[in-house]
Amino acid sequence: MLLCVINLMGSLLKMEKKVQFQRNLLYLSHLRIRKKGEVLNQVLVHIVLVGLIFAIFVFATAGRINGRDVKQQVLEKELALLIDSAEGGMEFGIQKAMINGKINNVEIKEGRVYVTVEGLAATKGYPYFSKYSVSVREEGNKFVVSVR
Amino acid sequence: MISKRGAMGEGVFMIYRLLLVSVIAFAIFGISSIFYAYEIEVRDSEAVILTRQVSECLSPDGVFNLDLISEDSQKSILSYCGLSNERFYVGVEVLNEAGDVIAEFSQGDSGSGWVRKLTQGAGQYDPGYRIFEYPVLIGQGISEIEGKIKMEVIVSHEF
Repeated sequence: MLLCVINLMGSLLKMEKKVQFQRNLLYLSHLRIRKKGEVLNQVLVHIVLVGLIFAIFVFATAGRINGRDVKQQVLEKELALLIDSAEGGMEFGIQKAMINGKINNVEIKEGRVYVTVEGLAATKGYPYFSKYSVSVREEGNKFVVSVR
Repeated sequence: MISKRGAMGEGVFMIYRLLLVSVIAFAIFGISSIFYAYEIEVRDSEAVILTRQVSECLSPDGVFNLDLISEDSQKSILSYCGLSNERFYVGVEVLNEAGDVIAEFSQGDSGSGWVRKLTQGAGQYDPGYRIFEYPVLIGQGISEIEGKIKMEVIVSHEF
């Protein structure tokens, strides 16, 4: 009895495998007879989707690189270098609205330059080494740095 | 035309491929944006400015008067010029016509120069380091001789 059941199960499994094989063959034959245009369309859709995914990530990375913190660092270092190379009696103005974003505040304290860009408050600042006294004042739509 | 089952299978396969592409893109751009160091290097410019300031301080109009610099100032040449900063090292050698050193001044962390010499052969970019030589008239007492000033400037990293 047991032997009979085992034989039956074995033949059922063989049949199942055969059916599966035939299904696979059928699927492959369907693929083979697909028109070239269909394949081309699918490849195009793929390329567009992959391009979109990469574009999203590229823009996200570009946003990070052009972030407020980078602009702030550029402005602080440029200002510090300007102060370093300035002679006594020089003054220079920094427009509040500029290509590097809107400057909210420029501060000079304890030998460091602090710039607040688009609401991002400066934390570290950048040191300058001028032997002159440096001060900053707000004047209309610009900040004026005086080296005396 | 493909069967419904085949179309569904391909759709699932496409989702899988797009997911894979998204994961790869995220890995490339995500990780690179996390580790992207946006440190802008200005130490070279600082070294140039510092060299100019010190040379103007020591030899205005191209005349260097040795008598003006006291012995205390010889080890604090930056303070003498009013430019003291813990990130800087300045070493000045005053040479006569024959090339002999007749006076030496310095200030700052000379250890940074030692570290620089250690890593010199590594082929690394070496920002903030400058050697500058220029001719001067050296005045000592009532005599004036021709010579030159050799200046070594190191600007350390701002942490």
